[in-house]
Amino acid sequence: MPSLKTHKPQHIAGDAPLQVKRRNRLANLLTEAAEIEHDVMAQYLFAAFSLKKAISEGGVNYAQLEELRGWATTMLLVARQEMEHLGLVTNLLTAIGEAPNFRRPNFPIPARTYPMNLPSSLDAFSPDVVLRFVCYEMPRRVNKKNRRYLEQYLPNFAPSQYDGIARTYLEIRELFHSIEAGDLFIGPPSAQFLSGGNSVVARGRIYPQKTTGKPPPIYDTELRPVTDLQSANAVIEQIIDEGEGADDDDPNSHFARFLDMHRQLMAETAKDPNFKPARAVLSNPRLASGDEGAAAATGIHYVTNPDTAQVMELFDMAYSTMVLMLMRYFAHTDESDADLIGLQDTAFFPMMTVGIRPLGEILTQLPAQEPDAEWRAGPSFVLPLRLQLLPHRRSAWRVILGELQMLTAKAEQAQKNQNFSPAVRERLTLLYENFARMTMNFQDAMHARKMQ
Amino acid sequence: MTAKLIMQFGGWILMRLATDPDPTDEPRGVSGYSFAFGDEPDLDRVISFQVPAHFKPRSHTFPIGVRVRRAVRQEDQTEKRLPALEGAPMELLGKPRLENRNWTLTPAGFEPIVPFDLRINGKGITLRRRAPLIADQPDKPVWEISESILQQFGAVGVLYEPATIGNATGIWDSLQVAVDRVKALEKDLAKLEAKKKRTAADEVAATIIRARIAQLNIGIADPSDRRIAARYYVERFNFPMQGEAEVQGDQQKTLGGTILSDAKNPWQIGFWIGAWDPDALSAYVLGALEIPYAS
Repeated sequence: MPSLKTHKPQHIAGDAPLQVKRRNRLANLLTEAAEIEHDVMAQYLFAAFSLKKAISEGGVNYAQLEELRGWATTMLLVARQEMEHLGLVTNLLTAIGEAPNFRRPNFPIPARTYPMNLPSSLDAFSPDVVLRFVCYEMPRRVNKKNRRYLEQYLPNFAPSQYDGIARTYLEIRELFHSIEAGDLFIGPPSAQFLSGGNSVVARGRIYPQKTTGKPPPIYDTELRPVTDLQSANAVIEQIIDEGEGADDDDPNSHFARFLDMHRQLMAETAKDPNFKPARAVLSNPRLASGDEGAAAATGIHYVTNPDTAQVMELFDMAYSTMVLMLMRYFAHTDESDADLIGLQDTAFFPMMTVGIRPLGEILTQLPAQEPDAEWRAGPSFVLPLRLQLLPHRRSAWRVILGELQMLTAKAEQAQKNQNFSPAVRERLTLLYENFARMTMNFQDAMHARKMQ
Repeated sequence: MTAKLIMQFGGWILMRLATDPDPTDEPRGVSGYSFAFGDEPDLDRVISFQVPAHFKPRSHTFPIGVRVRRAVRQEDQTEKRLPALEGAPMELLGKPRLENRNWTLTPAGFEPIVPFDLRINGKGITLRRRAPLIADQPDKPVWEISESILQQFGAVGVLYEPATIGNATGIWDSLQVAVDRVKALEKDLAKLEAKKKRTAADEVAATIIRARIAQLNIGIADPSDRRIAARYYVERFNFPMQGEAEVQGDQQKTLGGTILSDAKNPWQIGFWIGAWDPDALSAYVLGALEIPYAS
């Protein structure tokens, strides 16, 4: 083996230092893009969970409830597509041999952190919050009609003030084109995750069939593999089209959807001054730490009701366990296809649908404080500091199993809490049963590989 | 040859359930394509073979009710009709639900109906039998039961069978059903809106109609959407019913003999549920039940 002092690096095609510099820039931007997609996804979910669902909550009539349902549908759809974007960015990262990034700062996040120059904060649905969502999804060009509308609410409005995400993806695209493909796409194709006919087709899954001959989108999301420049381009186009829109008149872009929502919300509010679509949910709720002074300074609001704290703890555990599984899934090492199905069957559809969403919805109905001061709690989306990729398969799976078992035990305690209303207890009971089942399924997958 | 009682049955059912990607217990429907509108009760996931008490199905729903269409005692290649059972309403008792729970129990389309407790109310005869997933542990919670057992009682997938649907229901064009439904609802809405004095109840009814029209129009704009396409699919079930049974009435007189209903003599049921109508929150059932005779 040559000594480090005498060894000369092999020739790399092109201008090697420049190529490495560009590659590093690309990896940094993709890592940041993953954080941003994760960040906005949590904010959209939080706002959707805050919307009222029943006349008995006050401030809404039946016709308005239908509007609220439409807005919730849109926000959950956009949030699903942000999860899809996070998956696509992860595919881009692993395609170039980089690590997936499922970490991000906890809320609230100052405006200077990301290129869109806007703060990130978990807030209940309101005109200002929807306007912030419009800005997150700002395209580079805005037509006259939309520009005039936005000028009413954003002084000295210019799209360039907010189009940081759009610019980020454009630079990502340029960088992909500027680096030698042979040096760039060095990640293993097996690390790519795709929906529908993916490399880890779960048993017995039947997806709605279309006639296009390609894997169909599942619930308006479509994960595609990245193996070369062409597929990288396609994925970046998909993210741009669904987000800021191919052009500013695209009615299906996130920008257009949120702008429509803002118009409808302002119109309804003007028509009915008593219209109150959202529950009084605390911004950036967290589990109580007793450090109230620091909370006021940072915009965090601590939840002090002990019963509600029980559900918040469940949410925090479910969320961090899901992220832990996603990290392992996208950076798997010697897992077999069967192992990956075990992870997929727990981390993806079920954990989000049977865990995160019901818990988020329950929290916005529970009192935040003791005694009750009318404020409701909400999901914190806190990522604990310890949460990192667990690099060794056997121990990683054991850690995940331990998390799932603790989650099940906590859910069992929560569903027995008589202080909750019968409706909340019924939801918590189903939640407990689902967590217990997911843990059993995960354990079965481990037994099959003799990992226990 | 052992004599068998064979009943053919069918009809429209109610199935007020949330659809993926909504959570199983979503009460109103948000991300899926089935909803509870206005002042309608929350979605309950219950499969109802008959209209439940105090519940009114949505307007333009096909008449709800599963009945025995034909009942015979079959023996040595001969058949004897059993009028006491023909036309008898069938019920599923105990809030039966398709138990998939967002794929945590089984893959989509492979879910069992739990509990499965069937009652047939004939003239002078009532038959009832349960089909527990585990015969000697009838009360074991569904979420504790292995996927392989669940699938023995579950459907065999979501199968694209437009001809099955067409032959059974007369519906060959799902899109046309939606178009006709919208026309009918628009007429209803126009009537409501033409009223000089509209009550609060009229306003709620109008809200429900508008919401239904909006959802139907999403499907009409893209017929591959589940709001339209779902009507062409069936889920097929076939399993033994070997749980507790109850037979009340004069069997000799109504059934032409005594039927067997002990653990060693399961009743075999096979049926499909399909033609799912997400607007009416109903579906069609067609199948047969086979019961052995002792004499």
